[in-house]
Amino acid sequence: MHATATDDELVSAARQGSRSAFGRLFDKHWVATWRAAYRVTGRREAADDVAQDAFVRAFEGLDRYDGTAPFRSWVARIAVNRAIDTFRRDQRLVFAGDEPSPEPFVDPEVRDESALVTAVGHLPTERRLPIVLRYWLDYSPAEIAELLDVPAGTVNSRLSRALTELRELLEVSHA
Amino acid sequence: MPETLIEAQLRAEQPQANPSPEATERARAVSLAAISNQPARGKSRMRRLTLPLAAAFLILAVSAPAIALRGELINFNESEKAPVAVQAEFSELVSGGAPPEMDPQVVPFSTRKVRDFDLASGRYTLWVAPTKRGGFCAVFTNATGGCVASRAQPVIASVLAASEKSPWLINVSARSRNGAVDQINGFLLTPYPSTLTLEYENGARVDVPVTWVSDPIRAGFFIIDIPAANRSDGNRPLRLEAHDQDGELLAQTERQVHIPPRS
Repeated sequence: MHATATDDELVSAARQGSRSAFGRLFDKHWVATWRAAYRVTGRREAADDVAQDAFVRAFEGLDRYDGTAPFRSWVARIAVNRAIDTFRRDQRLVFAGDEPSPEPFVDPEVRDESALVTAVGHLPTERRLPIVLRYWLDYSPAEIAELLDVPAGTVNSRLSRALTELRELLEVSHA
Repeated sequence: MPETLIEAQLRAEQPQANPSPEATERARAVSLAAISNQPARGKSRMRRLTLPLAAAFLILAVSAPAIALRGELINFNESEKAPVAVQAEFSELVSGGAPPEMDPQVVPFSTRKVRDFDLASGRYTLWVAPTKRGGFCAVFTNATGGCVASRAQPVIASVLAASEKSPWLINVSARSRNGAVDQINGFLLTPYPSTLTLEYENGARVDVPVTWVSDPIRAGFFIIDIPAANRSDGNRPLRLEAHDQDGELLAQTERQVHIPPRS
């Protein structure tokens, strides 16, 4: 039954203790969740940890899933929250003198990443996150404001400034 | 180039990366292991409750009296109180990402400095705060941290593979640079004064110093630099093992510790 079951049916079966239903939910949504984590963190290792943690939390908290959003969106939202939390923690706990982080989205396993994706990776985190959340993960400005814990006006101004920076970066790269 | 065009281009062009098969396999195993540690869904309620209850019993019944008696032990209640700035860090540490019901409920004003660890790579200060449910949050400045929300159902139980023996008893964070682990830190929930051993791929084994912290924390903490000689294929860290005083294996883990060589 699991091969063709809907997410609602899988969630229901998982709540009854079906291990195979949990496994099927993982198989259906792991890649999308990992990609969401990667787009926010920009780094494979961080995405591995964040996406894995999101599934652990989703499975542990399945009783709290109310079905108002698709399961896929729910688990991706947990991953995005965790990824943003990682940024907050790192910003508080990493002090001057640490080795600088590499640019995001520089993935040796992916050749020929587009100039635009590379340019997004060069944006400061403060402006890269709104861009990623808005255009790659399809969150509304209001949702982004909630995720980043900043006023909606701040989100809009950061998006605007980031788009300007991207345009300038792309014009330089094409010059 | 107009910004509306960039917006359209952004929606069309996204990073192409996909998860590796290794990460997928590990995440699947860990996620499914997490549900094995869940209390109480449906028919197998009694079987599922056994694990966390057993863990709670072990920790409460064994470690507390032992800690009171002997060994290198920091008295938490006599440790230096954390400055307000550090308390503020703890109060915000977990509030931003997880849903409210998953908040470990740390008590930030009870944060204390356990000690400084002077390693070759620098000084790392360990700050620890209890949680309202009998667990703790711990942070090494310049490194990482973690929380155990409660002893009855440790958060860390959920993030380790089922194949690992007593996995809820060791929590590890590793720092990797240039594809190699160069620092490991974490905490033990094993009975005091159990020992911690790091085994390398080449079979060499070293003792890892553990600093134990008294009630209400009841845990051992460690942080070590990995020597440069142990950052190459065949010599990397492989696993951590915790043993009791009789040499009995209590827990082991390769998670975070071992990065397999790139093929």
